[in-house]
Amino acid sequence: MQLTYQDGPEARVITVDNSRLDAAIAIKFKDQMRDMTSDGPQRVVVDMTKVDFIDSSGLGAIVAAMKQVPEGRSFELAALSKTVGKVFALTRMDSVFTIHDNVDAALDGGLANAS
Amino acid sequence: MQNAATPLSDQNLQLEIPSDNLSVRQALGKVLSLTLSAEEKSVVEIVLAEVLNNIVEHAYQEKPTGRIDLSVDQSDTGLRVQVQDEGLPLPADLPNAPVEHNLTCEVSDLPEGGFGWLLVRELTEELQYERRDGRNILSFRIPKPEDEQA
Repeated sequence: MQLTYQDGPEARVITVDNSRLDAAIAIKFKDQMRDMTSDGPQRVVVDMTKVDFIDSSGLGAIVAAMKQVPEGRSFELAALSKTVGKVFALTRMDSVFTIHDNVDAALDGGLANAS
Repeated sequence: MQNAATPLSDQNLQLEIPSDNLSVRQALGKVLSLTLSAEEKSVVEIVLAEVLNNIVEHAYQEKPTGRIDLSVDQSDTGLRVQVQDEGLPLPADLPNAPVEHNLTCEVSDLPEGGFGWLLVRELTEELQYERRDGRNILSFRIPKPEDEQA
């Protein structure tokens, strides 16, 4: 389980370095996310570029990660692969999360929204 | 002891899988080595990962000594899959009961589980479950993506 982050002017971008987000790493994912979303910029964008596959446990971990974000902070997703996007759509979780095509789009949107 | 993998032809597969996560992952790799489109592969991977993980986790309660029999047959209408195990039975009607999450709730009330069967039901057709002679027998078809049907 590997999460890294970088803080910019508008957001903290957390990068998931695993290709699979599944039961094997779900608990660590949730725990590391709690640490990384408890301070820093108010806006959090999770870069999912490297995640090829997610199962129901991985999806549950992402939902759990969002639920533990302190109030007033955002938890947004960017760059879902086709398979990951399909899992979000079928479970209708795409209606719950703010999902950006990629990190650049997420950060541009942040600037535009900042006015 | 029969051979763990007996290829019937290029497009059919019968696997005998020990009930541990590594074996399940290896079996998944063998199924994905069949000639499938990228679209089919993504659906097959989602469905089989959920079904096999459920067996390891719930039917065999994480005991690695169980056995899972998986057969995959390619047909004109898609992949016919049958999965058998000798673990605990599924809760009554779980494969067929509709799961409708209410997502218009507070964030703190969002469901964190129950997605597995929802995905299996959404992505398969002719989903059938039977408990026979102490075995769970689950069968379903993963339809060919519409734009690839002849």
